[in-house]
Amino acid sequence: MGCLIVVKVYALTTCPWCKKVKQLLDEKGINYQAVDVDLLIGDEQNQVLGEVEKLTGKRSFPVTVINDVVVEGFKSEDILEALKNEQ
Amino acid sequence: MNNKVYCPVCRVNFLVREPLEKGKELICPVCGARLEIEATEPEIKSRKKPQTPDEEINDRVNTFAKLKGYVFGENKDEVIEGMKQKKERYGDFYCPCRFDNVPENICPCQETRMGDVRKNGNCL
Repeated sequence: MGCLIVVKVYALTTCPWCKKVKQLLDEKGINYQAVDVDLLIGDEQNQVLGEVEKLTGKRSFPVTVINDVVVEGFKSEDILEALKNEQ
Repeated sequence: MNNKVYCPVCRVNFLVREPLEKGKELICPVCGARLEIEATEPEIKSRKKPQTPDEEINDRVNTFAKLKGYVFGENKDEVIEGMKQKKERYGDFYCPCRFDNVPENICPCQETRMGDVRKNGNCL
């Protein structure tokens, strides 16, 4: 059994690069949890923003987390490499 | 004589040498916004030239890119679409990939206006 990969994508619904990350993962058949931060409200939104700031120091998107590898922005090579290394 | 004009989009003053009169159209050299002189007395007052949202943001990013010598990446239309969504939801053309809808993030955002594209190769 291959190694379990946990993939999470923090996104904004207005951000085209976020859509591209999701498209890439869909094309590769990768299961992932997508969090559209601008659709969250109240404490939940604040808590998730806190997570993103802890990971990147910023509040910009997309942020893709592959196990504990963090990729900021739409960097397909970095994402694919992290997926390969984590498998 | 230099006239000082305030740009309401990037909130910066810029100097204009030629004489100004009411209704005159200007381009902000910092952010590419199309402005119009609203008054010259007692002081110079400018406003955004009335345009449809579509005209305004396309005009601004095209003008800004020309001013800086930048070219657009593959996703230009989707980025503009994202900004128009932000305009509808939050009232201005905030960066579609930043969470905070604050004046500094009105496109072209402060980081981009201060040369981030030269450092990173692209805005955000």
